[in-house]
Amino acid sequence: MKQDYPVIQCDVLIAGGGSAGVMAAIRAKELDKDQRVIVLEKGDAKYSGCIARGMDALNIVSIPGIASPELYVESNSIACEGIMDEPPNHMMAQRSYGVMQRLVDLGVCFPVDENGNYDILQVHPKGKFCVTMKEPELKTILHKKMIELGTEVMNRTMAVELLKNEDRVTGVIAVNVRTGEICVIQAKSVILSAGGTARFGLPNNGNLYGVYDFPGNTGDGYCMAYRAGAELSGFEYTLTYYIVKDINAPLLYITLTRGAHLYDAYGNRKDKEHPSLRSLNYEDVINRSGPLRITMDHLEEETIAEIENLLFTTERPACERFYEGRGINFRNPGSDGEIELWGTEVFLCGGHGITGVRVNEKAETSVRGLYAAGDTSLVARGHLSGAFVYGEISAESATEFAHTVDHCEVDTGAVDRFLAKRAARLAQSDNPIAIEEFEYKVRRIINDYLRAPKNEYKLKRALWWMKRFREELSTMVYIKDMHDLFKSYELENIIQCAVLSATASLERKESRWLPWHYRTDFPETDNERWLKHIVLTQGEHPDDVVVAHKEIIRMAKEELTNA
Amino acid sequence: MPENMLTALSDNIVIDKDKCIFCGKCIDTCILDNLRMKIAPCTKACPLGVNCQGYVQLIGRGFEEEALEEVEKSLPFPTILGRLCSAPCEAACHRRAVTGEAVSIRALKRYLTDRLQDRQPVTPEIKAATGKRCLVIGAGPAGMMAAYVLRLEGHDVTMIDAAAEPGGMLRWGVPEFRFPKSYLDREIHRLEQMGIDIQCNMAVGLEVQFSDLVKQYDAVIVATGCPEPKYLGMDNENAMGITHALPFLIQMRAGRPPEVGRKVVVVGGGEVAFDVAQTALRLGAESVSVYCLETRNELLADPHIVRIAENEGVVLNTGFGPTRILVRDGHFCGLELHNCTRVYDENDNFSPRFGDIITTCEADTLIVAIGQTRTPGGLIKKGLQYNELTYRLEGYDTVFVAGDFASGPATIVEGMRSGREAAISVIRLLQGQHLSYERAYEGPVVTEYAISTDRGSALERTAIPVRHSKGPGDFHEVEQTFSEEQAAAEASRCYSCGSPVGRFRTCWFCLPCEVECPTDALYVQIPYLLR
Ligand SMILES: Cc1cc2nc3c(=O)[nH]c(=O)nc-3n(C[C@H](O)[C@H](O)[C@H](O)COP(=O)(O)OP(=O)(O)OC[C@H]3O[C@@H](n4cnc5c(N)ncnc54)[C@H](O)[C@@H]3O)c2cc1C
Ligand code: SF4
Ligand code: SF4
Repeated sequence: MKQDYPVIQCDVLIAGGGSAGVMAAIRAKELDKDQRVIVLEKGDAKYSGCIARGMDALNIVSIPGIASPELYVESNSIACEGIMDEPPNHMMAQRSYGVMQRLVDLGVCFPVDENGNYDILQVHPKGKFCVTMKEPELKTILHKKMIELGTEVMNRTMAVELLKNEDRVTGVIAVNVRTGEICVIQAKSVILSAGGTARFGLPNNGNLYGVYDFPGNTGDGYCMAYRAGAELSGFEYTLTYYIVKDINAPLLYITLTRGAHLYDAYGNRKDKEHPSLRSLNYEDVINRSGPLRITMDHLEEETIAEIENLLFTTERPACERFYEGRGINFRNPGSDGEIELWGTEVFLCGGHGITGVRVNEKAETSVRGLYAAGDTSLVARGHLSGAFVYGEISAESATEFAHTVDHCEVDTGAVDRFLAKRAARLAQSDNPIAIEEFEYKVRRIINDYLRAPKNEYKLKRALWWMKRFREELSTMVYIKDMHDLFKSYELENIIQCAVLSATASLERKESRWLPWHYRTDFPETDNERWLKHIVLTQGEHPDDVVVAHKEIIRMAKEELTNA
Repeated sequence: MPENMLTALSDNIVIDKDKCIFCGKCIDTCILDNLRMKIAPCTKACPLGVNCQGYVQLIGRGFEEEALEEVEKSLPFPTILGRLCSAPCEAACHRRAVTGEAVSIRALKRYLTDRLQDRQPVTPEIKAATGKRCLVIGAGPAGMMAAYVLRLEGHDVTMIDAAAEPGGMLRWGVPEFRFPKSYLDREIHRLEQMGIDIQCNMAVGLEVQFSDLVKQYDAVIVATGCPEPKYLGMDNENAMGITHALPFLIQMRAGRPPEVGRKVVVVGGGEVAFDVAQTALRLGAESVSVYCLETRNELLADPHIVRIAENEGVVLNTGFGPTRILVRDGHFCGLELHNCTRVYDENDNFSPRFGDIITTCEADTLIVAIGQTRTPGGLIKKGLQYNELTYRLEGYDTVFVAGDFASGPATIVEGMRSGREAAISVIRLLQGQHLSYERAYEGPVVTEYAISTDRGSALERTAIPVRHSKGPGDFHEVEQTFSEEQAAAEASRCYSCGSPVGRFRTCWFCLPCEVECPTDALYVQIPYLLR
């Protein structure tokens, strides 16, 4: 039977309309206003992604005269314990001030003091790179700009599979998350900016969506890239954050950089030794001295008010409701004023961590015509700055590439296979298990076996389970409506990410980034053997993960000093 | 809704139903697609998707401008439907299910248009010119809606009509005392002001050839309605003194009032039958009897209209169908009828059965009002087959159909709906988009949910004020508008059934829904597990 689905042509296709995606769209239209740029977005691009209600800081800005890009490379390399390609990071830092200026021009608020200086905080091992931002409308400002420039946005549309022609990516198959219809977008170049895997481990609060990172992100970017043959790295970097218990929202740097105190469970002060999210996790997981707590009752009213102002207007403004509900007032001494921190669920992310699709300083992946940006890409710990800068860079490269190629015929065979699989899913309505229950179990098992401390036994159990889950997704889970269908694509990717993570974790037979990749069977860090990437690519089929070791890409010393 | 681990959690989305206007903005905004609208039965029933619950509630709160704006979001012609809509919303109204009397949703719409008649209707901005030329054939409600939608998109729109003036049934079929012509003229004028080129006296097949038009325009929408009267198919149906509803009404509107005898008999049970009956009274008939097959409960006409007609003196005889037309000297002189024992069969198909009671009715004028059909042969020779989602005519790439022409005799609101759907198809076609993608979806709604009746007042349905004909020659509008107090009372009867809901419990408490809500009606709690 001839299938009837929309086939849309564009020059640059952007999968994911979050921070990186909108910036990529803006840049692509600026470079060539006549090219057709389409953004596929699972939610609604006006707000979707991590920056729904703004951000309180642009974490990496190399402001001339304050902290150089070279210092950032050095500093971030320390934070990544050496597993960091220098050129993309250098490029990111180099362009970070430009991106910040662009945001300023768009009207984004970066508060300045009476002398007109930005509020710049030190959150990295070396150098002050973190600039306070106070802009609840950050996403809507960018969204407006993107629309004004003529970007076409397809909301509620999930990119599921890349189409290829020989070695080149030529388009995407997407699914409408409400109607379940598919559509095919032919593109000359594709940018993946679908975030990381936020729905990975099960959070302590027990709510599948009560996670730290944006729960719409289910590793779709990683999985699409993987299935298209691109190189992935850093999947053993199984990140947990250390933030406010239960609500899983951050507040650490805002408070600590303004003089808050940090205590461990035994009442020892911990804020003096430059705590980082990792060191706090270390305290808790390795030293067993958690939970840690923040107190502010010793601060001036003015400072507390400033903290509240930042905290309750941007990033996660709902926090105010949370504290109110708990009866917490930062001014109070004791437990009525202190904030208890815990480790979050485990998640994978290129922006907060170092998991992602490997890219060079041009945002090119290892597959022709395919680019990646933001948390999907591996620009280690680039945060929002990385998302914005690589949004721009990916757009530049993708636009240039799009100018050199033509559209390829749609691979109707691939589309037909996709449709056949979709039909099979829709036919499994009589199975006994709801997809939500299934997700709960998958993510609980991810917690059990993929979160530090790890060892070979646990990681192999993880693989055993994931193989089983892959089968159960078709034999046990019911798909009764389009909502279930859409979630099944997400679950497939969460499972795939777990397979990748277990494989990479098994491979790295050392411990690094403690506690995140803490292997109890290989407790030492071994720079001799393991100062390199664990690169994953797809073999014959998705379960056949091909593992390779790749050297860290460094810049010549002169480049770093002269650049 | 099937329960699962998530949906068994409590809903953290709190709606203040005193503030919510059920606009759905929050649902469109949610970045995790968590929200759904428990859609009110009225809103769900509206072919145009007018937010009935929202505007009724707004009237109850005293926000009349906002209420009208809410209507105009999906209905550019509220003055028309405020008077003439068949009001499927009221048929579906939960208040009707519970107490037997629906909220007067239509009359409240009319109230808004009357109250705010000096206000300029809100017409969205017309998009930049596309250079594409669209033709709408037929300037009735379906054509008007199609032309409106196409024009907003920036297309060049020509609307042609065979009649001397545009409006279709709104002009020719509906009598003045139900829909004063001035309202129609106002809407037509508005369409012209938008830049729609309306050309009359252009009968396709006579003045212009359909095949030429298809070639000349980038897209064509055929909405020529069902302008042919249905015949009883009995001997003597052409005798003097016999006329059919449509030509009768057209003569009226064209300023050539037909002559009627002293005693008039009308055959038919729809609203048109009562329209012609009331018209006949106004033309000086001494008595007017309506005969129909149906029982009172089965009548197709709105009971409110029947009541008005009866109050004016129209005599309704239910359960009879004509057997013979009686003629004296070539002139109609009476009707022989037999009793009807059932109109519809078990499957609700029209399949009347008759008994053996025979009656005759003497009269001088017979008006047959048993419906209309498409012009036989007409534009499209082959059988009319079209796609039910896109309204594209089978066998053509650029021709679409709408209104009664597509569906057979239906209603104004249905015509407007299909006019809009056909126009959307044209817009997609001209933009190179897929015609049906996303269109079968019923929207982000929940339809099965328990309705609380706590909110409705105990008042009975407010009678719609009427101004009865003062006798022959009085064609003044019959139905009148609610007073402010009446409107408020009527609106207070609404249960306010629907509500947005955090359907999937996939909330990240990120707040865009709350920020976008125009009335501060939505509050996002921290989910209980996290609180
Ligand atoms: C709570 C929180 C606080 C943070 N605070 C800071 C801070 O103060 N400073 C800082 O520098 N950084 C901060 N970050 C990090 C920063 O926000 C992210 O690194 C950045 O937003 C990543 O951008 P992105 O475009 O890669 O991902 P996102 O912004 O998450 O966007 C991904 C988008 O892709 C969509 N998507 C996912 N899958 C698909 C698919 N298959 N098809 C279509 N669309 C898809 C999603 O709906 C989403 O809109 C914070 C992050 C979080 C979660
Ligand atoms: S809660 Fe607000 S946005 Fe949502 S339907 Fe009601 S009024 Fe509209
Ligand atoms: S707060 Fe919840 S319901 Fe509102 S937009 Fe965010 S996820 Fe959706």
